[in-house]
Amino acid sequence: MKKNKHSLFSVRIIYLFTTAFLVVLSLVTFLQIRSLVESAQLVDHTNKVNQSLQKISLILVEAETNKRAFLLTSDSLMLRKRDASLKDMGREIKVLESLTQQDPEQVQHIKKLILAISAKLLSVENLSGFDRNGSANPAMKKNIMEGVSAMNEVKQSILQMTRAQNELHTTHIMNFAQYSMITPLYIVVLFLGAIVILMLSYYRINKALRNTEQMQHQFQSLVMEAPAAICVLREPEHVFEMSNDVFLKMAGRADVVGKTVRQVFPELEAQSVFELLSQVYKTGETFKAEDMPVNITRENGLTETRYFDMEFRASYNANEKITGVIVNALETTEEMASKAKIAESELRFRSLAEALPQLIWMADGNGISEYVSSRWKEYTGVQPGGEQEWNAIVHPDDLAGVNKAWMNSLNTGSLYNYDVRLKSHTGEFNWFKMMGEPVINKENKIIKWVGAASNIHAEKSFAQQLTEQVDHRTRELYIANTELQEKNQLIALSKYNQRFLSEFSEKFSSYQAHAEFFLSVVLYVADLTQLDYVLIGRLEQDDSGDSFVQTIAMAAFGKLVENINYPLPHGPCEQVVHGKIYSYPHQCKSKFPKNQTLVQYNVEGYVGYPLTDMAGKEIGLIALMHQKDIEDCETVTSILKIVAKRTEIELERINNEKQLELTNQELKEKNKTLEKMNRELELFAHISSHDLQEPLRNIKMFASRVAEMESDKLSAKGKEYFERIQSSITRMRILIEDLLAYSRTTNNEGQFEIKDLGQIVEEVKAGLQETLDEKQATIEASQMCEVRIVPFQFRQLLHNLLSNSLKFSAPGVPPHIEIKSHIIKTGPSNDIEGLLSGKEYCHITVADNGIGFEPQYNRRIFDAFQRLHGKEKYSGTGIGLSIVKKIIENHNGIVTATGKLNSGAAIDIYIPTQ
Amino acid sequence: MNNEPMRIVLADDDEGDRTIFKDALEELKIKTKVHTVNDGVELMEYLALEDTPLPYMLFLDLNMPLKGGMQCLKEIKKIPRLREVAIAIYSTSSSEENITETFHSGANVYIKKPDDFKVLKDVLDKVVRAAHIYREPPFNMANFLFKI
Repeated sequence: MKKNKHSLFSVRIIYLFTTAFLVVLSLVTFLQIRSLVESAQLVDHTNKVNQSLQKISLILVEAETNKRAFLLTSDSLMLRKRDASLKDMGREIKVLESLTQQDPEQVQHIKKLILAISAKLLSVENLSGFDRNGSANPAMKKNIMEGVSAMNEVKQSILQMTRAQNELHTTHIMNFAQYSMITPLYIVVLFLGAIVILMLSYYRINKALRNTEQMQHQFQSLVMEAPAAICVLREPEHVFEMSNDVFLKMAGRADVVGKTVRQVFPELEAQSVFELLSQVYKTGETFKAEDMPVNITRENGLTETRYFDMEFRASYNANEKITGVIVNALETTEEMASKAKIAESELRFRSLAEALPQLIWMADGNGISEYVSSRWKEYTGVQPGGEQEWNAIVHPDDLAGVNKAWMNSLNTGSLYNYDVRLKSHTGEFNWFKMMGEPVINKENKIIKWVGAASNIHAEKSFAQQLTEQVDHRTRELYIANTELQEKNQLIALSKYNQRFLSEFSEKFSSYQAHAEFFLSVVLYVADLTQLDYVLIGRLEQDDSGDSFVQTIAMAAFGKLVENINYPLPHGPCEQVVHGKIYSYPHQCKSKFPKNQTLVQYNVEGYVGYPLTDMAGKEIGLIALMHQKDIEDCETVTSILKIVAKRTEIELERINNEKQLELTNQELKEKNKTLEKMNRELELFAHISSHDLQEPLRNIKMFASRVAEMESDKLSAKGKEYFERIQSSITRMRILIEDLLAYSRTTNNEGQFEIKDLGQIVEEVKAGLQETLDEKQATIEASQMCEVRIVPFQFRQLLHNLLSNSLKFSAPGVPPHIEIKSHIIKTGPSNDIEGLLSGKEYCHITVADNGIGFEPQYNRRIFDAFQRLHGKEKYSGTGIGLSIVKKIIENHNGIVTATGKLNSGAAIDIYIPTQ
Repeated sequence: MNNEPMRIVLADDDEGDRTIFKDALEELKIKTKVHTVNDGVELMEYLALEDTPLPYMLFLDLNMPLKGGMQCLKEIKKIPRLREVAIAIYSTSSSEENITETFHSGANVYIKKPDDFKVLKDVLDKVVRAAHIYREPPFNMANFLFKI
């Protein structure tokens, strides 16, 4: 607007200037013209004066002539003529006088002239004529003389006057010439200037007009094409000046231009719309409202409440005066309805949430809390709002963990699950399981998080209790252990101990085998305790199922004796073996009257200790028997305990060794059988494949011959059948070949060689060259290391893998296979399932860009005859990969496959480098 | 090539193979005269006969009863009269051991029995025509195994 004003002002100034200039110019021109006219007049005047003067001279002459003529003719006519002339003269002089009355010089001259003329006229009057005798009388001469001089005077004056007049005349003429030159110039300039201004103003006006037109047009189209409903009202009557189609459609009216709002929407009467419009018109303040409800009656008579984002804006004319209102309306009825629906469902959710005992929570897509059920406040005593409240109710030890888990879930959209301790309103902490799930909209974007916190304190505390109990138990055990140790230390006081402690561990710490061990033990104990009999016995069962003890070492009176065996029942050993009472230091014999052994050996005192295996089963015992009472029974028992432990270990070890031996033997035998079977199988496979191939080849050959030779006699069906025969045969042949290849790989006796992997790859590539060219496939081998392999087997392996990749390529996409290898070492940080830790492996990957496979089949594909596609789609027997697996197993490695449908497959092979 | 038909001898235990072999040769442009034997023993006997003309080329199946092709090959190579005969191993097997051993035993070419008649004709055509090349024992294994 300002710019316009400015330009308007400047235009006005320009126009003012030009008009002033023109006015000035015209004034000047006018003056010029006047001067011109004046000078013309002057010239004319001068001419007139001259003319007058000439006339006077003529009249004078005429007068004289007439007088003379009269005198000569005495014709009164002449006289009358003379009078006329004189009259003329008089008139003429008057004219002259009037003409020259401005010029004082001329006035003088005229005076002189008049005198002269008078004199002349007098002279003329005095003309008397000739004497009859024709001689001139002196009076006449004098008259004539006077007349002549008077005439001369007149002539003089006239001449002077004429001269003066001529001078004037020349100046006047010059002026006139000047003026007549300049004035047209002025006129032309004026004319041009006027033209220019006219043109400029025309141009300007045209432009302004066109601008206005354009803007008007733009405005109109803006309004008409706007997506919002717009209409322009002329105030104060609220008359529709313009409304676009959207408005008409929204309002449900056909045409409104020219009508007032009242006429078009009579139902708006009591809805404050008119007041608002008038307000805007009056104050110029824009009225804006969101979701304003308006009741509108449709053309079918139904009134409905609809919601609009409304805007009433004042519209100004060029003079910045409000002339109307622009109405801008956007219907939000639908949004309102859906908002209402959403609010409703939220309400339902909330009432549900409130009904549940869990602590329900809801957050927006960014994790900002939107809603928490009242259970939160019930339990914690505080209303959770933000981070502060959260930090206050979570156990400090769990805070970091739970926040991390929540952050992780927010970032990745994975389920939120974390156990955390929350403080109740009573101040105690209970375990809660925090769970949360994202809510995803149609575009896969997370719009909300919904979750619950469940009180798992009981379960958790049970688990805690258990752990605590275990801890408690462990501690008890530890305490018991320490007690025992202390007891052991007490033994140091006893007489046996020093020797025992220093010697026993020394003597028996170094590994002693079998019988030697037991023998030395019994001797040692016998020596130490000085008891009569010391034995180590093994619990055994005889054929009838009765238990007895078979000693494996026995010392009597300090010397080794032959091993014995004695029945278990009814003796102290029975008690010992069953883990009951260990010692009968006195009167043992009498306590077990039935026991022959005791009688035989005359045992009075007895101390025994059971030997158990790892599982806790009784396997034997150590027994000390004395023909006298055993004193210091406790010490002896404790010694026995320790010795027993060691013996147990030894016994266990012996057992294990025996087992191992047996197992080894079994294994060897099994191996032998297996090997034999393998060889037979291989032979069988070899022969059978060959023997199967031959008739198969014959069938194919002859079938194709028949089809060929008799093709004109065969029907179309017949030909088809032959084709089927051929294809079946081909399939069978391939199957047999694959079986053969499969069986060959069981041959463990392949020669291992160190080979460069790249070389093998090249060899296999060469074998597949035809297919590679056909499919425009590329094989990229990088970082090839040296591997210890059976070359022909490995070639088979690579051939199978590459053929697979080529076969299962994506249609239309040239297959691209990448083969990589690098050495890795397994260890605690690099643990791969199936591989030994701490070993060096060569990791080879073969990855392709084919059709891939579903990850759930990644193990199955290695099973023999397992196929993932029908044979019509992709040929094959399903043996290829099982051969690969076998070969890898031969090499003591592992093979895994990873794949995704339509995004290729990758085979990972690990082979030990040694 | 002369107008004289080339003498071809085939030792194969499979009747079907023998028939097919004969048919294939018959359909070739080159003139051949085929004699077939059932096994290695028969072959050696046939070759030992006085009036048996020297074969132009000998096709040996490996898997034959009584005496296999490998054995025959070795024996033939010991007979001076037969040293010039071009020997083609004509077998179903393509095991490396067989190929290597026959190569080292002096066979001229190793043919894996095709299962297509046309292919067989093609192979026989090429092999028989080029037999004179094959008369010289091959110097490396790459040329030994016949490839179309």
